[in-house]
Amino acid sequence: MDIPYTIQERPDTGLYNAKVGIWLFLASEVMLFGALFSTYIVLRVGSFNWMPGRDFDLNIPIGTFNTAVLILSSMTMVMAWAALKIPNFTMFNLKIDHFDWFRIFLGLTILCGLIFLGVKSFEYYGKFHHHHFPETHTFYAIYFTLTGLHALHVFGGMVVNAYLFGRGACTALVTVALTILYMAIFGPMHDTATGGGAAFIAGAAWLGIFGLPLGIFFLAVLIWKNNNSAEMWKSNPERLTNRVEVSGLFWHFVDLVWIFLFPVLYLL
Amino acid sequence: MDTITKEQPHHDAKDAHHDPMPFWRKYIFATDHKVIGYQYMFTAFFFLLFGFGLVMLMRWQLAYPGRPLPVLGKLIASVLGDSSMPGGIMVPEFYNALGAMHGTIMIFLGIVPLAFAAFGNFVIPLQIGSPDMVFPKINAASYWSYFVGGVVMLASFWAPGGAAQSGWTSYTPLAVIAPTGQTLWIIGMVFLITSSLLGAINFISTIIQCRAPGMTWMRLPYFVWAQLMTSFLLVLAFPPLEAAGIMQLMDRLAGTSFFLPEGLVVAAKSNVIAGYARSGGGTSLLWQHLFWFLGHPEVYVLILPAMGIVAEVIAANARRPIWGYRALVFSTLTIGFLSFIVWAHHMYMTGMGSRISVFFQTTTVLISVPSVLLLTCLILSLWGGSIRFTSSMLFAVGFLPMFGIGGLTGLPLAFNAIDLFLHDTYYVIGHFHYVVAPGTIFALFAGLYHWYPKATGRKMNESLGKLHFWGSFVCMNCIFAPMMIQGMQGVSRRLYDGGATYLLAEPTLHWNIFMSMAAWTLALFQIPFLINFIVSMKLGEKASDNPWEATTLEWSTATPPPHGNWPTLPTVYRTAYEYSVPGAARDFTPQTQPQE
Amino acid sequence: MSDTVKAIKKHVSWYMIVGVSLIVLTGVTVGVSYIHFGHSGNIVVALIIATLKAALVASIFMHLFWDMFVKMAVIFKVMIFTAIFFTGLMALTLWSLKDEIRTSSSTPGPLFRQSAPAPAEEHGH
Repeated sequence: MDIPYTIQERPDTGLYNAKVGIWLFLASEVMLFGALFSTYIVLRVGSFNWMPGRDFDLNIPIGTFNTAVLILSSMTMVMAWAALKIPNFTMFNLKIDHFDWFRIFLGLTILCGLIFLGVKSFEYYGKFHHHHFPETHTFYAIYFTLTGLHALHVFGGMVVNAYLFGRGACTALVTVALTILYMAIFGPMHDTATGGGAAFIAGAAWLGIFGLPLGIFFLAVLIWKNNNSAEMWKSNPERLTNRVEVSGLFWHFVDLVWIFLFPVLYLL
Repeated sequence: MDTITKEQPHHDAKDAHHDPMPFWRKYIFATDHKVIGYQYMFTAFFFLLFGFGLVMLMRWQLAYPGRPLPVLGKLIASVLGDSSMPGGIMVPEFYNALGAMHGTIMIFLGIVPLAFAAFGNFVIPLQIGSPDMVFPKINAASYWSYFVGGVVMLASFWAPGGAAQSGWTSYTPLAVIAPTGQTLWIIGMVFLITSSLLGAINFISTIIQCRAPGMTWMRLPYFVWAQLMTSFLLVLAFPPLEAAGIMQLMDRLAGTSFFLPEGLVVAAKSNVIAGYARSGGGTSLLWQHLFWFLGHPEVYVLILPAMGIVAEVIAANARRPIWGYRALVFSTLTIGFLSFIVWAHHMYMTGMGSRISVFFQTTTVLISVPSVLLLTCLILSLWGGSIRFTSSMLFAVGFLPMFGIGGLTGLPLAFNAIDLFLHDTYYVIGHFHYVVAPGTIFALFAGLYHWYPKATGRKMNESLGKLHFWGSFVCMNCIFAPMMIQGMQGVSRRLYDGGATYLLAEPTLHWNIFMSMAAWTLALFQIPFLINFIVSMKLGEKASDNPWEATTLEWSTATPPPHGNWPTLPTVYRTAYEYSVPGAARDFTPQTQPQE
Repeated sequence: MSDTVKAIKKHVSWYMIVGVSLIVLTGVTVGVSYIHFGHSGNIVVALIIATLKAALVASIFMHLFWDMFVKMAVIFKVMIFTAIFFTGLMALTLWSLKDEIRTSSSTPGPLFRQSAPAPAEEHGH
C-alpha cells in the first residue's frame, strides 16, 4: 500500500508530505541560527568596547554585491517553480517550452549560488592573506562561524538544485567542490615550505589528470543524457514541481538568513 | 542535513510487500518503519546495557575507592591502556570519562532512541493507521546517522587521553581544554542531533499527514500525542545545542573563545598555559544557557514517551478508558510549551540575579502542575478497573510511584534557596534517576512486554517477567533512595572516591557499598529478561492478533504486520479507549468497529 | 487556492517587483548605514529594514501571504511557536546574564570581562 499524500495535498491540512517536512526543518534551522545570533548579541552586549564589523576590513561593496546576487537567485528560484506550474509560461515573447524556462531559471539560480560562494571564498582568502583567522578576534570568530555555516547551507541548497537540474549537474558540482576543498587544504601548504609543496603539486596533478577530464565528461553527460528531471517531468510532472517548490523553500530560507547576516556583520 | 529537500517520499513499485527481499535489503538498509524500529531497539538496548556497565565500574570505585578491581580491571587496562585502570585501579581521569559517557550514552544513545525512535517508529504508523512513515528513506538515514554517532562515541574511548571527561553537560571552559575525546564527543553529538532531527520531522509529518480516515485529533491514542510533543521538543530544542557544539568545536580547534573567559589561565600537568582566551573573552555561561535550552526539554523527551507507553498499557490492562483523556492531552501540550522557558533552574548557582531566578522558579513550579495532572490521570485510570497484573502492567503500575517520587523530589530543587544547598549533590542524582531509571526504563520494559506479541507473534514468559519486575523494582529503590540521604548530607556528585576523604560524607559512607551491591544485583535481574526476550521469539506462547484485547489500531492488523501494515487503509469510527462500554457485546470496542 | 495556474500567473509580476525592491532595500540599508543616527539608532534602522526584507521573502517567495487564510494552519502554528521560543532563548539568556546579584547602589557593569584587541596590524590596503 502506498504512502498517502506524497504528491496530492491532504484536504484538511492543505499540504503534501514534503512541504510539512521542509517547514519543520526550517523551524529547526530558525532555532539553529537563532542560537548563533543570540551568541552574537550576548558577546556584543557583554563587551566593554565592541568594534562594529565595519571597523574591520570587511568590504561593504562586495558584501552588497553578494547580497544582491543571493536575492536575485531567490527570485529566479521562484520563477523556476512558476515556469513549471504555468503551462504556456514564456517571457520576452520567446518561443521556448516552459520546461526549458524552468531549466534556464534553475540554471541561473545555481549560477548565482556559484557566484556567491566564489565571492565569499575570495573574501575569505583576503582575510587569511592578512592573517585574520577566527582566533584573531571574537568578531572574526563570529564572522567565520556564521558565514561559514551559511555557506554550507548555500552549498547544500545548490547540490539539491543541481540534482533537480539533472543528476549529471549534481555530480559535476560535488566533484568540483571536492577538488576545491582538496586544493584549499593542501594549497596553503605550498607557502609554508614544510613539505606541503609536494602535496600541492600532487593535488594540481590530480586535478589536471582526473579532475578536468571528469569535469568535461560530466558536462557532456549533463548535456546529452542523464537528465532524470526531464524523465520525471514526463512521467510525474507534479512530483517534480513539488520537489522544486520544497527545494525553493529551503533556498529562500538561506537567502533570508543572509538578509539578516549582511547588515549585522558588515554594517553594524 | 540538506538532503531533506532532495529526498522526497517515494514508494518504488519494487518495494511492494509481495516480493521477497534479500536479507540486507530487508533488515540492514531497511525503509520499513517496523524494521527501523527493531534496528533502533537492538542498538539502543546494546547502548543501554553498555552505559549500565560503565556505571557498574564506577560503583566499584565508589564502594571500594582505590582498590583494584579483580579480573575485569586487568582486562579493561589491557584493552584501553594504562590511562584507564592500571593494575585494576581506576585513575581519576578514567572515572570522569566513565561518568560523562554514562550520562551521554544513557540519554542520547540509550533512552531517547529506545523510547522515542524505537517505540515511535514501530507503534506510531500502526496506531494512526498509516502504511509507513511519510519519509521512509529519511527514516533510514536517521537510524544510520544514530549508528555512526554511536560508533564515534564508542571510539572515543580509544582517543588519546580517553573519552570525554567533562560530564554529559560538557561545561566550558573545562570541556574546551579537555583532551581529544571531547572533540569526538561533539562530532558524535552532531550525528545524534541530526538523527533525532530527521526522526522527529518524520514523526510529526506522519502524524499530521497520514492519519487514517476518521482518525481525528481527539481520537488519537495518547501515546501518539506524547510522541508528537516529544518530536516538537526535539525539533526546536536540539538546534541550539548543535550551534553550541559548533562553537565549542571552534573553540577547541580554531582557537576562538566563545566560551572562554578573558584572562583564563590553565595549569596543565607540567607547564602553565596562560592567556587561553586568544580571540578576546567570551562567556562560559553562554554554553550553559544553550546547553540547558536543550537540556531541559530533553528531560521531557525522556519522560513523555514513557507516559504514553504507560497510558496504553494501563488502559488495556485495567479494562477501562483512560481517565481524563483531554486533560492528558492538554497537559502534555502545556508541558511542551513550558519546558522551553524553565531551563535556567539548572543554573541557580551561576550568580543569576534574583529577578530572573524568580522568573525561572515560577515557570518551574508551574510545569509541575501539568506533570502532576498526567500522573493523577494515570492513577485514576486504575480506579474501578478490573486489573490484569501481567508483566507489562506490573511495570506500568511500578512506574507510577517511581515517577511520583522522582517528580516530588524535584520540587525542592525548583526553589532557588533550597537548590543552593542541594545543587550538584547526590540528591540531584537520586532525583533524576528516579525519574529516568525506575521511571522511564520501567515504562520501556512495560512497552516491550506489551508490544512484543505484535512484533513476534509470541508472548514473553510471565513468570520470568514477574521475576524481572520484582527484582528490578527492589534493586532500583535500593540504589537511588540512599542517594537522597547522601545528598542531603551534602555529598557532591562528582567525588572520585565517593566521599571517603570528606568528613561531611562520613555518616553516609556505608551506603556506598549497599548501593553498589544493589546495582550489581540489578544487573543479575536483567538476565531473566534477556533470556526471556531471546528465547520467547522461538518458544514463547503463540499470541493472537489481539492478545491483550486492546482497542487501538495496531491490534487490528496481522501479526507480525506485513510491509504496508494493512491491505487497505483502516477507517476509524470511535475514540481510542472504549473499554467496558455499557451494553457493548465485549468489554472492548476496537476503533475500527463502526458505530451502530 | 493559491496555486492554480491563474493565480500563479498573477503572482509572477509580484516576484519581479519583490525581487527588485529587495535589491533596492539592500542599497538603502547600505546607504543608511553611512548616516549617523546614534549608536543604537543605526542598529534599529538596519534591523527594521532587514525584517521588512525577510517578511517580503517569507510572504511572497515562500507564499506565506497567499496561503495565510487559505491553508497551512499547521505551518503557521509551528512557525509562531518557533518564533516565541527563539525570542525566549534570546531574551531570557540576555536577561539572565544582565541580571546580576548586586545591591541597589552599585551601577550595572559589563556582563563579563572582555577586551577587544584591535585587528592585526598588517592591512594590505
